Amino acid sequence: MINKIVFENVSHSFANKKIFENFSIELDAGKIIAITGANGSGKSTFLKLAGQFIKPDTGKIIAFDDGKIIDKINLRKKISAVAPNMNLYSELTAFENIKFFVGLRDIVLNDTDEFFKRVELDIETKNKSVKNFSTGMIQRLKFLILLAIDSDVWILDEPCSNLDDSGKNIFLKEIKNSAQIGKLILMATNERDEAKIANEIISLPIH
Amino acid sequence: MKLSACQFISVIRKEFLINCRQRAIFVSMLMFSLTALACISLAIGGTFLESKLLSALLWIIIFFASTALDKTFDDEAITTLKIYGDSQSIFFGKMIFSLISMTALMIFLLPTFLILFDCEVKSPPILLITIFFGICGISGAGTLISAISATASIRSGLFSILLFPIILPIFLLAIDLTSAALLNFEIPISSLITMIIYDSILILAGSILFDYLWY
Amino acid sequence: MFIIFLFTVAIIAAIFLIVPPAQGLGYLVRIIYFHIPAAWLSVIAFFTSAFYAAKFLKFQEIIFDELSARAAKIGFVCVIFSTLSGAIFSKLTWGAYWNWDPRQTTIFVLILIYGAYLTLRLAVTDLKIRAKVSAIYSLLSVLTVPFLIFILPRMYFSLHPSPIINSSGLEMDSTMLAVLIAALIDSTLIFIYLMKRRG
Ligand SMILES: Nc1ncnc2c1ncn2[C@@H]1O[C@H](COP(=O)(O)OP(=O)(O)O)[C@@H](O)[C@H]1O
Ligand SMILES: [Mg+2]
Repeated sequence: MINKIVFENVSHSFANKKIFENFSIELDAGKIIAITGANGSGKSTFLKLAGQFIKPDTGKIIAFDDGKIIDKINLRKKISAVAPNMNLYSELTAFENIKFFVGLRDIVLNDTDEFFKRVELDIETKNKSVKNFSTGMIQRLKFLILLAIDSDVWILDEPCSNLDDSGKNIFLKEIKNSAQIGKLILMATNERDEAKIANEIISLPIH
Repeated sequence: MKLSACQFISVIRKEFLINCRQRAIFVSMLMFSLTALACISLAIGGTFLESKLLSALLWIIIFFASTALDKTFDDEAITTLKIYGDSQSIFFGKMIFSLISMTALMIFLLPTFLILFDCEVKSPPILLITIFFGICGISGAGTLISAISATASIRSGLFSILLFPIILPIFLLAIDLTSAALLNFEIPISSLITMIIYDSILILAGSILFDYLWY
Repeated sequence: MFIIFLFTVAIIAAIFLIVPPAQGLGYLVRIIYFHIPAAWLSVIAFFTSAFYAAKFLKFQEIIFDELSARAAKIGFVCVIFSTLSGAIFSKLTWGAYWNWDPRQTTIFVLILIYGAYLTLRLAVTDLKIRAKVSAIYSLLSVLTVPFLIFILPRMYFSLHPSPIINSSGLEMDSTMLAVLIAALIDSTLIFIYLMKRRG
């Protein structure tokens, strides 16, 4: 399992705008870590850095797997995510989307009904094309894929956007449970009730 | 460089499903190459062409048909793919799918070409082998180049501009081999071997360099 | 820097004052003292660019991308200059601007590669991504070189004087050769200077 991700003196900027400067922090597994801050404060950038999707200008980001440092390619295999810019295939059905993304992690799923129940997505929608889905349904489907992949690190960028109250409650409950079994959870959010379940809050300043 | 069969098959199956549902992709690729073919054949009319020129025309058309591979990385879910997908299975999955589409395209294109230009092929196996290895190399290079050109903000024509110099060795060798196949000259076996070696190097280098692009 | 400047002046003087007119070509032979070093530099610059591209991919330092791009820009200017001077020389000696001889074709391919590389740099706006993709393209294009060197001479018939200058009624005497070698060394020094200069 991934135990922690450490930021060491990380600086990062886009064009001329400094987003992080000499930023150091340790992110531990088993807790819900919320990242808050105004729009454009760098929450999504923080998540991309933590998952090593982008490389910081200076400084280091290190991930530990059972206490040993792992490289970004191996880290990538242990990450799953829900983010606004993560699209699904609109031409494919919900089931085909799940089967495809789960297959990318070498998981063969024949029965997905259990997951549909967990995110309270109507089983009828299983064989419907995703282009007919509402944004809230797509959000649940993305979360379903994350649950089905069941990886060590969860990167959640505004996970509850476009969700109704019951959706939010389901997501938050799943997030709490997974933190309890030792997953590393990073959640960027601007909503009070999401931040409330966090064990630790990192609030980013405005630039 | 490890390639998981499960992942690789997932990628190919997904490409198939999407391309079967959005038939416009394949149909427009087909119509584009038929238009290129029509353009050349109408311009030339019934004039007799020697085999060197014919094979050059054939490969020019194949090159233009391959510009359809430009779309390989216009993937609707590219961000999600980058999170869950492993570079090698994406590279080889997309490459094999490109090869399959190019092959399907050639099934239409080659007979049409041979009929329109009234070609007599003296050595069909050599022609088919040449075309197969030619489009292998084009698919390999095309997959990487498509991923590169997808990062550009201004893209018109970029794919062909980038692809041509890279596949030039294939292009020249394939023209040589094709004209030999039409005439049943002695087959320049060294050209064929060179082409296969170049294909393998291209695909190998493509797969290594793709890692740098993906992660 | 100053030494390179003096050296260059001396060589230009030598080209115009000392070098004897070649038989059949007269003073036009002077073109080759610009043509050959330019062709030489365009090849050197090509490999330099690829070398820094590899360094960039390994170390991810933006400075290597800048060096790779700079080498490519110098190479592009040289390859254009070398093609033009070569075409003029070719017209005067063989009667046509373009002959599709293997070396001319190689230079032509270099123009294509450099052109493609620089177009890519213009088309990608994000600096970090641009560095990465242009390094990848640069390395991919290097692969074609050994194959083209093998293929082109078999496909296109050569007219070029080889190894440096002979046949076609041109004899290299020792003065010519000495000046030519000096010009090659000088152009290489200019290239190194341009690469080392900051900014
Ligand atoms: N790829 C990029 N290129 C240029 N600027 C970027 C890029 N990504 C983010 N930014 C800038 O960085 C800042 C932080 O962005 P982001 O992390 O998305 O903020 P948040 O998620 O907190 O709203 C913004 O001002 C944005 O304009
Ligand atoms: Mg954001």
